[in-house]
Amino acid sequence: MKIWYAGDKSKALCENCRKVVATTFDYHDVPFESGIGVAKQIMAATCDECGTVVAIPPQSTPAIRVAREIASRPLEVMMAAPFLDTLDLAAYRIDPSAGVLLRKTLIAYFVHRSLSDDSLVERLRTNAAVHRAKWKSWHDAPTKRLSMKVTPRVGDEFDELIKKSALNKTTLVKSIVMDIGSEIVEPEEPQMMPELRRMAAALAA
Amino acid sequence: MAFKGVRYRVIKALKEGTYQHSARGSIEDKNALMTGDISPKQLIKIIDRCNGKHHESSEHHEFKGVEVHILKRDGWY
Ligand SMILES: [Zn+2]
Repeated sequence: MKIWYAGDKSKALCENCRKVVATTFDYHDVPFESGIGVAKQIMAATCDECGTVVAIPPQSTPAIRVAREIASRPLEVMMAAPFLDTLDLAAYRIDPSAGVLLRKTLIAYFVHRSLSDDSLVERLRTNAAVHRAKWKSWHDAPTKRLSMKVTPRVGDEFDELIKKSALNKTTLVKSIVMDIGSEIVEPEEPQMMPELRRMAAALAA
Repeated sequence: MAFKGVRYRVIKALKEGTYQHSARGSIEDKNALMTGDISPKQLIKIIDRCNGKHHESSEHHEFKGVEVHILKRDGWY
């Protein structure tokens, strides 16, 4: 395996300068395109003309993995099986092949949407009161764990929605799942479907 | 360059670690080889199973004189 050292020279395509450029290797902080965080001080090659990171050697892959692992935050919630069934049914309806990948995306999508509309936050609070009542009729349902890792951005939005709604983490997720149920699972022709299908297609790319 | 030559050079680079991932100032999360979601060994196995039918080449859409080779197989690209 070839190892590059600081100061080594190479060549690469620079999309900024729109040509093949001379590059120099050194340690740099490189952000993730998805906004998941930053890989700090990894070996990378920059364009000698504009300074953009234009190439990353294989030796940086382990550091990239570690950075991604550290940057993602665990989100774990225990809930009665009907909630998880609803979430998975919604995902299945959007894209039968996407599987559990869409769980996280759906929740992130609804969190993001709710943050920008106070009436949606109010609806989440109403949902919470409703499912507390419903809960009693489900006393035989098994409890299941929803476990996922989210990007720092999604985690921050989730925390903000906890504050705005004054619901705890578990209740908030259940309330979101109820919204998902009433908008995606129950309607014959969900209004949001075209948008959600486009989102699922982008994820599968 | 013909397909067999391309496949040979790609596999050689993967074995020797002499390849570089292109970047535009950030880490492309979808580049499974760069993020370590697929290992060079696993990728070599997929490329080994490619034949001329899985290969396309064309001039880079922005860079004149740079040839781009695309191998598509088993959902990989
Ligand atoms: Zn440049």
